[in-house]
Formats: sequence, C-alpha cells, structure tokens
Amino acid sequence: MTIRNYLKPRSLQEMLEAKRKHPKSKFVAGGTLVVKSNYPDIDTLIDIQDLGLNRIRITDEEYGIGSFTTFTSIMESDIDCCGDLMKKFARHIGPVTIRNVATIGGNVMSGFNWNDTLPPLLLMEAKLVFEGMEGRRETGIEAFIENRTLFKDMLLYEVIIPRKDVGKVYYSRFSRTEDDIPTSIVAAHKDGGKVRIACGASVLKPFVKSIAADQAESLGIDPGVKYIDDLRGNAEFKRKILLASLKEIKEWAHEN
Amino acid sequence: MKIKIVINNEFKEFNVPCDTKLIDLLRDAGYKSVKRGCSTGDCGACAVILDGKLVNSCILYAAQTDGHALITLEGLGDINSPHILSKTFAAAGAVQCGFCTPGMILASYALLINNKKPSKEEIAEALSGNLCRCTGYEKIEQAVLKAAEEMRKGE
Repeated sequence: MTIRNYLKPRSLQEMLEAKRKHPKSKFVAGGTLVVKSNYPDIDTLIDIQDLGLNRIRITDEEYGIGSFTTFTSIMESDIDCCGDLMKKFARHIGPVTIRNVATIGGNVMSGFNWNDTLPPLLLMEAKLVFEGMEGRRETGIEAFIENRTLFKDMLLYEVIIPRKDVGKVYYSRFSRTEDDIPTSIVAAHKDGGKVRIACGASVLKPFVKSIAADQAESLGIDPGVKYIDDLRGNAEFKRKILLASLKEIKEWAHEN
Repeated sequence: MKIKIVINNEFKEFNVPCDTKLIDLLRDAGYKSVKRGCSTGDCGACAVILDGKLVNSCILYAAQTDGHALITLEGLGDINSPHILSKTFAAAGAVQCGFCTPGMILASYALLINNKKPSKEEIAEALSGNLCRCTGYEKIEQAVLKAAEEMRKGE
C-alpha cells in the first residue's frame, strides 16, 4: 500500500478543506484496521487525532462519545448505560494493545459485519453525528446500518447514547478466544411486556427487534435473517449459536 | 514527511515516506528490541509504550506518533544498569527464546507504573496482547509479581 499524502488537520474546517482537496482520501483514527488493510494505493490519509474527538460528553440526557475515543478510554470512563454494557463490549474489542488505540469511530465505520460495536449500539438506540461537505448530519444507528454507503466519505464526529434506565441487560458474546473476533453477539433488555433484542456478528446485517420473550427464538429462524459463512464457522453454525442465545434470553426474561 | 518523536526521553527527527510503519522506523533507527512478529497486531513482540499506553508498533503508521513520546525497552535500562523487571525476568527464568521478552517487559512496566500491587488476574489482563511462543506464562507472571514487590520496597 502506498500513501501519497498524510494530513493531520487541527480543526473541522481544516478537515473539510482537506477532504475538498482530496476527495478520494480516507480517514485514519487508531489505525488498527487501515494499517492492516489491503487497500490499493491511498491518495491521501486524513488523521483525525488532533480534532479533539477523544472525549466523552456527559449530560443528564445522553453520552456523547467522540469518534476518536479509544476503547480503553470507554472502559475507564464514568459511562453507566444499560448497566455495564458499554464497558463489557469495550473489554472484548481485543487485548490491551488493541484497546489502547482502537476507537469507537473506527469500529463503527469499519464496515465489517462481525463488528463488536453495532449490537450494543443498536440496543442502546445510539445516534451517529457526521460531518461532511454538506454540513452536519445526524442519523439513528439502524438507518446507518441500512445505508452505510451514504456516509462513507463523511467523518463520524460523535456517537450519542441516550441515558435511560432499562433495568437488567443480557449480553452474550461468542468467540474462539476471549479477544478474538466475535462469532455472535446478542444483547437484550426487557421492553414493557416484550424483550428488545440486538443481534450481530453472526448475521450479515446486525438488527434489533422487540418481541415477546417466548417468541425470541423465532428471530433466529426468520428467513429474512442471513448468516455469515466464513472461516470462524459456516452459516448453519452461526444460526445455531444465535438460536442458543435466543433460547437463553427466553429463560433470562422469565427469571428477571 | 518530517516526524518529530521523543523516544526514550530523547528528541528525534525523521524524514520518512507517509506509509512507514512505526516498527520500521524504530528498527531502522537502531531500536532492535522492537521485534517483528506477526505484523498484524496479534502477538505484541513489537510493543512500545506510546504516551503511557502499550501499543503495537506494527499496526501504527510512524506519522500517527508525530509529536508524541515513546518508550522502547532500550529506555528502561541497559546491561550495566538493568531495570528491575529485566532482573526479575532473568531471575525467574521468564526468558526462554527471548523473542517476546521486550514486549512482555514493556507490558509489565505499563502495568506497574499505574498499579503497584497487581493481582494475577490484572497481570494476565495487562499481558493479554503479548504472546509467548515458548508458553512461559507462569514464570513471566512470577517475574512481574516479584518486580512489583521489589518496586514497592524501593519506594
């Protein structure tokens, strides 16, 4: 991979100017994915470390996590949302050496379906704030997953997580080793008489649905849900793992 | 591009291509304790401390560290004046082939500067990004516990 230009803007204005001059440029945050990627030549990399986005904004209504915030910073923060769900999934992004540089923005924007971050963000009804040539744009995480390509040239500025008490949270993460890429992630909380369930890593498109607890397993056999077939397990294996978690949720919902 | 980095408390300037990885910059500059293992951020042999945090230099561009401070194993002492961790690693037999040792010692150092009395679980967590292909983890853990004890005595 050859990179012709490496820019480090010090403000959003400078970032937009860089993007205008180099429309084919890519952003780099922690670098754990970009550096390892097999991109062909990159005209220009725009490093976002000097944009002040390694910070967590806390108000009574929400947490605003800057896109350059590392998973170590999230683990060490005062975030208390959906129990300790944020800290739980941050812990499993990888070992210390990865968590110290990998950022929430990089993870959300990676485009990988096995992404650790998307199911918890779906459960927590996160919103994403982007900065681009046409100004600031806010979108729900579900809409982002449906239309990722719309945002590929925009800078993810902030991840907003509403603060609300949802009671106990179910979280399961299945992987070959503790720090390996996940094969399945399922998170859930009670939602009135139903259970709100977010699934990812095993499926081609992470999703969230509210459903009666007794019918939780039906999510796993929905013909509209497509499974990932890769070196970590074939589609049938992934389906069985998801079904096991959904069965567990049914029991968890009755016990809690 | 020009890059300025503080390495082991020394100010350094480099002129490197934009896509130079940090591991290559360091090894070319003579910091040979930084080992090339997996090149994918999985083994920790190339670990260095960047602004107090342990990171893999194989998955960082050198440009990302412009204006930052690094510590490599060379910064923790030398053969005439070894760091306490180097001594306890040797004394505990925590060094077999030695390839993972620089990364292991830096990971241990990054832990001990913030936690003077780590538990075995905290040591395992701090070393979670460092693989020992000789599987000498138990002795490495003993070395870290001993170093922590010695460092507390020295305070």
